[in-house]
Amino acid sequence: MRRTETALRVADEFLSRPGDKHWGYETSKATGIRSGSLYPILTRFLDAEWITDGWEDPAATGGRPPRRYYELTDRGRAEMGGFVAGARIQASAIRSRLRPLGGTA
Amino acid sequence: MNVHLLFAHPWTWITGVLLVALVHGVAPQLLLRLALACYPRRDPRRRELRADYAAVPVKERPRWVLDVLTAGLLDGLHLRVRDVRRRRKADSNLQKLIDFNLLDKPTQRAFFGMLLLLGVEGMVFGFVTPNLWTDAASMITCMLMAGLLYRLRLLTRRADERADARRTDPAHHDE
Repeated sequence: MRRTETALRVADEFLSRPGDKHWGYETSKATGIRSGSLYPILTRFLDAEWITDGWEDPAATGGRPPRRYYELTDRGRAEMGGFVAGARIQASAIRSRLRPLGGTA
Repeated sequence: MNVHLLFAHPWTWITGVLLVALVHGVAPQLLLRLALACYPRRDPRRRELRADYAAVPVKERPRWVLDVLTAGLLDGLHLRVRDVRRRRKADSNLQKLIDFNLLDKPTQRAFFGMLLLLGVEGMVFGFVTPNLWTDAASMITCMLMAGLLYRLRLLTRRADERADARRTDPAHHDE
């Protein structure tokens, strides 16, 4: 899985509420990622079996179309954690190597 | 602001209203349909996007739909093309199966019609009609014709396959 900024934000969102059901538009609002980038990321997570999908019960939607939900899988919990942690370590390593211009912090 | 001016130049506000209706009403719906059409027929994303669209506030819809359309064009279109190709191939395979493993409809109808006639005549006349032998001969002819037709098609298919193999692989030689 490629470590992109958007993928990390979506992964972070899933990990912040691991037991919850997430749906597209809500995730897009929570992460600030545009729908054009979000749905392909969700597809990649589904393909990697990090998340699983399901549909709302049509009887409980009150007339609106049933939404597609995404839930974190056990595999996703383990691998996504590593995915996010790895990116954080990488980011902090890069930050530590960078020296501020002019010699002042 | 002078309201009379607005009504003195109706095109100004009518155009504005129509533009708002287009940008926030009709256009997003059309673009959403276009975006959905980018995905394969049974792709769950189609249903998902339709449901999500209902939750998006009207003000945000034009931008949301444009984003979705971009994703559809970049990610969904090749899936759709692949799906259409696969379906066409499956259809042609089914057609081949029907063409070469079953008798064609007119032959089948003629064969079963003759068989029925023979059966009915046999029951009514106790197999003593002078037409019985004619019917039996017709049935046998029908069977032979069906068999010949099947054989002819099989030979044509083999010839086609050999020609295809020669076209794709010039080094191919018949045994």
